[in-house]
Amino acid sequence: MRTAVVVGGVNVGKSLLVVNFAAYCGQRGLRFQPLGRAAGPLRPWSLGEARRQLVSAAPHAILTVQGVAVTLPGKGGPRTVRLWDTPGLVAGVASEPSVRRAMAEALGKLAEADLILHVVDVARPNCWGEADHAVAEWRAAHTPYAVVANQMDRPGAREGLKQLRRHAAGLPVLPVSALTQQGFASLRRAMAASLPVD
Amino acid sequence: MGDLQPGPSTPATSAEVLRWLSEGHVSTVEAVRQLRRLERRAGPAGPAHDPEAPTEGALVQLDALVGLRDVKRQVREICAFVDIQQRRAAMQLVAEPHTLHMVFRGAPGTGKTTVARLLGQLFRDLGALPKGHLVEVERADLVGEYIGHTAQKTREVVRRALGGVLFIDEAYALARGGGKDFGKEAIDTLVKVMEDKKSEFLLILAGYPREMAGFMEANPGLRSRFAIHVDFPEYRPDELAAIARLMLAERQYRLASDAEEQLAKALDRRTGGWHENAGNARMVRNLMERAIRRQAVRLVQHAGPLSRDDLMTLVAADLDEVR
Ligand SMILES: Nc1nc2c(ncn2[C@@H]2O[C@H](COP(=O)(O)OP(=O)(O)OP(=O)(O)O)[C@@H](O)[C@H]2O)c(=O)[nH]1
Ligand SMILES: [Mg+2]
Repeated sequence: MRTAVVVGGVNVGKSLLVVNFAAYCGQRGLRFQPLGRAAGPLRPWSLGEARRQLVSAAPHAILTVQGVAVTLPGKGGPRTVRLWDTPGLVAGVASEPSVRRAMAEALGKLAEADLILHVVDVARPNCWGEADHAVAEWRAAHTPYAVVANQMDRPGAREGLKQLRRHAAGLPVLPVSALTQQGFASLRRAMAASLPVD
Repeated sequence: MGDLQPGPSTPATSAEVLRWLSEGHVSTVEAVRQLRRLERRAGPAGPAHDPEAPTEGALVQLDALVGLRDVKRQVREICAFVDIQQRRAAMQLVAEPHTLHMVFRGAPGTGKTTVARLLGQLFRDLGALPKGHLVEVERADLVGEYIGHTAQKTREVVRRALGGVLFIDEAYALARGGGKDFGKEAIDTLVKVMEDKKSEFLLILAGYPREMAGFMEANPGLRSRFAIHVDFPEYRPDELAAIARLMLAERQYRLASDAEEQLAKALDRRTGGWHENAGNARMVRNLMERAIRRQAVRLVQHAGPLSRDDLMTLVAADLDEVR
């Protein structure tokens, strides 16, 4: 199965994007596979349960990397891909050892991705940070790469999107809201276009 | 030997970058930059493998050791000296003969053997030793049971070490038995082979600082042949904690944050000489091994299913005994 990795800064909405996008793609019971767990995926979660487990206004509430399989329709047939949610990247040296290990796991997963969705919260000022720049510079030349401009439903997002397009010049930018699911159709199309048919 | 600044060190593989990141040696952004650098060097399809000279590998390993700042500085100085003497010799300049035999002073578990092993590799990479392997022995490997036996055993050990490093741990024990002891014969034999096989091997005598000082004092024949003394200090509590995390990570365990705190407290209490193994990595190893056993006992008694996380995590209760 192909590997799509969702990365980005802390609290930008990666987990909500993964959960809601999986649901949008018709996934009912969401069976998350924690990284490295040999015993296979966890028991299926309902949409609400997955949100409660993974989405949080508190930064770094979840430090594990976990993936859920989704099937994307597209030209020529369906594509199955596992969408991996990663803990939010902090630019510096995290003081908590568990956070530092989580950073290492996230980068390790990123290195093996077939497709990268780099999530940014465009409702935040200066949303394209140092870590965003470094990660894009590292991976975008090797791997199909899209910058997902999230939180488009919030005030100030349009301004942020314009700014982001300047900073992430050369990279495809897809405006979405993980909350309202606006932009999910384009996201799904873009993903399907860069993945092989099953 | 000039005052050489340690050069900026860089990790050699992506696995190493990730380890440095989780150990807190580099920031996330710096780790990403290093990963990019390694990939560019390896080429897009190639493995993340370091094509540089192998010396870099041993130096990187040296840098990756927890703490030991002065030891690292001294090793770099020694290597620079050896390197330059070799180049001088190659250009027919007068080169200082290397009498590079060393005394490592420090408690057990302070990194002496590890550094000795790396020195062997560094010297091999510099062309100063053909093999650079490490032969680690103690008194019983050198001292025999009858007259002549000791010289024979000692020469046999030296023969095995030729081309590499002979590391004698707790070397002061050779003088333990007094004048009639065969230990004296071992020392005399060593002095003789150091003369005969001058630069064919590197001899490192290791032991507790005070005992080694007395030992060298009492053996002028040895003393004059050891110009380099390297001191291995006791680790600080934070360094010991870093060592604990490394040991656990290698075995796929980790500390929950309450365990992390408990360990820090326990280490604070045990440093400063109040504990027999204060400040050494062996103490940490023992503590962690005990915690791993206690975790197993705790998990076996646990009723519900065990997650991967449960199996990997040591909690404060597992460290209770070290209070
Ligand atoms: N209004 C709005 N809120 C969002 C959107 N996406 C995420 N959120 C909220 O932002 C907060 C963080 O969302 P998460 O999905 O947990 O963010 P994350 O990037 O996974 O965070 P970390 O894993 O801690 O890095 C939650 O309270 C979400 O409900 C969005 O598109 N619009
Ligand atoms: Mg999250």
